[in-house]
Amino acid sequence: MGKTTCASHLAYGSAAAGYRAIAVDLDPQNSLRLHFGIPLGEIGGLSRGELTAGDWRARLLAGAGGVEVLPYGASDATARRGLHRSMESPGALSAALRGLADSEDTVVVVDLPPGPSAALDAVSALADLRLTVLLADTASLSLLPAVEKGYYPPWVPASSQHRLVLNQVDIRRRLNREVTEFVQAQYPDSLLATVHRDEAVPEAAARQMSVAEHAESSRAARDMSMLCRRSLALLLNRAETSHQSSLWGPAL
Amino acid sequence: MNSYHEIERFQRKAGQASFPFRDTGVPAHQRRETGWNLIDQVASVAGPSLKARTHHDEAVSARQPEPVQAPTPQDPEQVQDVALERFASLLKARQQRKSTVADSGESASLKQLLRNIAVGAPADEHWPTQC
Repeated sequence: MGKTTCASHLAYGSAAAGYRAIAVDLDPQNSLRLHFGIPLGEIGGLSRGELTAGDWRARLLAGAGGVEVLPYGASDATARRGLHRSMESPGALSAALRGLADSEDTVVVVDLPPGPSAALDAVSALADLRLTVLLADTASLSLLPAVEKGYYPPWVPASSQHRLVLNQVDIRRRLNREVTEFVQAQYPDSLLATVHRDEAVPEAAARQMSVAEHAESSRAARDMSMLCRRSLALLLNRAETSHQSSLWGPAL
Repeated sequence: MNSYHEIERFQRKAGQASFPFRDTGVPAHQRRETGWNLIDQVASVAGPSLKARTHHDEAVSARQPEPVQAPTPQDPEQVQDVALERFASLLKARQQRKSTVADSGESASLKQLLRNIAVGAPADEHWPTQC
């Protein structure tokens, strides 16, 4: 559904807005790094060591657009199980993430695996803003009631905001249009942004750069920019009240 | 746009002498530099086995189906008996069909029935006019 693409563009947008942007990949697919020009052969990342061992800042890689990237890393089943177990231990992930977000001008974007996971539970407790990326189809639509109720763990702080992002919307398709209209009508306060289907997005991914850099005047570049501006506005409002640095977690 | 003159004309028209043309005459999997970072990287790590799997130019060896022989009759007399039996069966069915049509015609023809409906005459009891 394009959650990794949205996550990468949130990081690109934050860096472009002058923040220190850190993109953390907790999805075993390990594809977030590819959006930032990091070579396919680069295998380093979280799964290559203990979750709590050392400072995560030492594992950051310099990505395109000034974004610092912490890939999931190349992993086998044993490494994935080990990382999964360590995420379940209370406080392990939060300590590591808080180590990254050490200043007020830092935005940490976390890309999560699809669906409920230990990573989702751990990050949800920390995130100032949780974004659920959905496609404008009935499969995604059917998930909405569950996302609204029971999807996130009960220990999510009340101050943590949750918003929806509709991705790959093509208004020429009847179902896409109708689902979009339904979500706009049914969840007007939750829908943060709509990103239209645009060939520029996969093309930018293939070139390992942001869609704004690949096709500045494209529809997707405008949509992603809107998504970033609205997200930053929400985080700024939150920061004004709590003076904390920001964590995002595109969830689905 | 393969010829030298076409390329030169396009470059002149576009006002860009070093227009980055990409040769599209070769399939993607055979190109070493496609201009797409990820395709190039995957192509460089993919071994020859992957290339062989994605090679589309090879003709597919279509295996011709074996011809199926129709069963040949063994005994001509037996075949004749079967044919006669079949003919008798068809003839019987035809006669039955004829008699059925004749029976229905005795009571009331369709035309007659429609005429009766049109003029409001009482219909034959075999043809219900009301549901």
